[in-house]
Amino acid sequence: MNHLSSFSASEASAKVPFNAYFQFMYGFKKSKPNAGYKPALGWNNNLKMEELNKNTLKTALSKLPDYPLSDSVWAGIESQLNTDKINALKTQLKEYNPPPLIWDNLSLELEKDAKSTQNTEGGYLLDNNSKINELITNELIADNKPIKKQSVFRRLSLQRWAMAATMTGLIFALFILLKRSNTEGGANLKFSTEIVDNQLLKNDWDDAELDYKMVETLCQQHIAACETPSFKTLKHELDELNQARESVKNAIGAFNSDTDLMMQLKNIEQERAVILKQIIGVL
Amino acid sequence: MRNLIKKSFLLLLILRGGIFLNAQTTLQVVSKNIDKTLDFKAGKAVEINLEKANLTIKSWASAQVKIQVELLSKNPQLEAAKQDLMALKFVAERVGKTIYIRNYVAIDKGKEKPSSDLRVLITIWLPTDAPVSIKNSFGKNNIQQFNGRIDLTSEFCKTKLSQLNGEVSINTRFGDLEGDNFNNKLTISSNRSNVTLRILRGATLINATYGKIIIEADRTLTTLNVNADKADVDILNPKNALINYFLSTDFGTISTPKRRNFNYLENSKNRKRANLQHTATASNVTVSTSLGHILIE
Repeated sequence: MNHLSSFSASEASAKVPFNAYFQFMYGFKKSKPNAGYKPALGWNNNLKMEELNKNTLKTALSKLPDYPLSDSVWAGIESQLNTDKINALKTQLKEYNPPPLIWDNLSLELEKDAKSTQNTEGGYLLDNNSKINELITNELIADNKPIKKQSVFRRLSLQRWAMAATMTGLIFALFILLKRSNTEGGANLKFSTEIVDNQLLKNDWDDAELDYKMVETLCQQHIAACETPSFKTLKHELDELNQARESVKNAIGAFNSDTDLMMQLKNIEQERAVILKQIIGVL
Repeated sequence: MRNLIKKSFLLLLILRGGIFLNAQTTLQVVSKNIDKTLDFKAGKAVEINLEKANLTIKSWASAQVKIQVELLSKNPQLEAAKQDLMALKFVAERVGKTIYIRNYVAIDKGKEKPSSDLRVLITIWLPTDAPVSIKNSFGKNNIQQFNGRIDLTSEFCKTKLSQLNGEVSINTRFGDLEGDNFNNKLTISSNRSNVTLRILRGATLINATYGKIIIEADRTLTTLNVNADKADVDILNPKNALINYFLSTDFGTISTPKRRNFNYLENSKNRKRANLQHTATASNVTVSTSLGHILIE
């Protein structure tokens, strides 16, 4: 059967019954000479014929009955073959590595087969890659041919490349996220100390607040005076200063060491004191 | 016995020294640095919105906006300082044609306001003619050598401006403003702020309420208009530049040097008006106040 291994893949995959094909090639079943054939110009008539009625021929071939050959026939054929000559010719055959696309297609086909096998055989999954590799290796060993190992990269399918790229991307994104969270979470924090005079931290701004609240009490006693435009103007100013004072106090907080803000608050307090004196004068 | 007296004397000295020495507190300072650079194209604007920030703006010959930020948190307790620093956020991003730069304090629901003293030190390099809008409160602003238009809104801030060639508009409340070398139109609206300006080459308009306005007028001055409500205005003229003055006050006072020969058009108790006119080409200074004094030196 070694001679059959030289058949091309397209020949092997043609849907012609093998026996019919064999008969056609080797003449066991004779058809009418030159019926439907025209010899090609300049070529041996037996080797190269131009088919004029391809469809008719295909139909006819498909209608030929199949008969299994007896073992004696095969034995006869084998005895007629000059195996030494064939082996000598085989050594002269050139070897070609298939392009990566072939391996990719093979992998895809195998994966499809594996899925169908898994589906049909209750979850049993064949390791098709290893199986086909084993088959190829065995055949090569049987033919005494050098085993050329395929590189890992060629064997990887497109899907696996895509999976690998996705995983790499995910790992990279995770790394970036972790780095960012570390940065924002305090990985680059710096620490130092600052000595502050307790006078700056002394929070005694509210000591005179009772005096300002007294204005409200006085207004209850001097209602008419508190309705005058001059009082209202002063009260408006005082309210504005009170609001500003609260804003600066909040900005200063409990541990402020910025004297500029404290000076601002001091100035506001001084202005408030002036206004308070004017208000008392009106009342 | 002698030793006992010596020791007692030394102890007294130490105690006495202690009385004069002020007590001090050590604050733990935690800081974080952030650097960011954004591309800038002509026609875009920069908006800066800060709080408790010491802002410095510089210009550079680049089509990029470069930002260097240091976020600071101070507290006697290190852990509290660290936690509070996490609440201090800084953002610099481009949305449409505007670059936004801002900081804020983010308090999670149910958590207390940070007790630490939080502060931001930020330096921004802008393309030299980029228009910039700035808001800052409880901090400092420092802008020098800049050609672009500036809109500054400042509350409780100290502001220093120098060598500005673009139009400048300032709104300041409860803050001090110092500036010199304004080479373009300058508009200031101030409330309870002290404003001190020198070398005004462009038309200048100041609307002030409360506070004190001090202008150093020299030959570079072109046109100055000051409207002051309950604010005092001092015009210093050290180099005796030729300036036409138009002064008026309601319920206030006007003080002018005798050597200048001001013409008092009105000098009643409630209203005073005084002019001094040299030539039509001289600089014009117009000042009007209510409940405030005008001083020309």
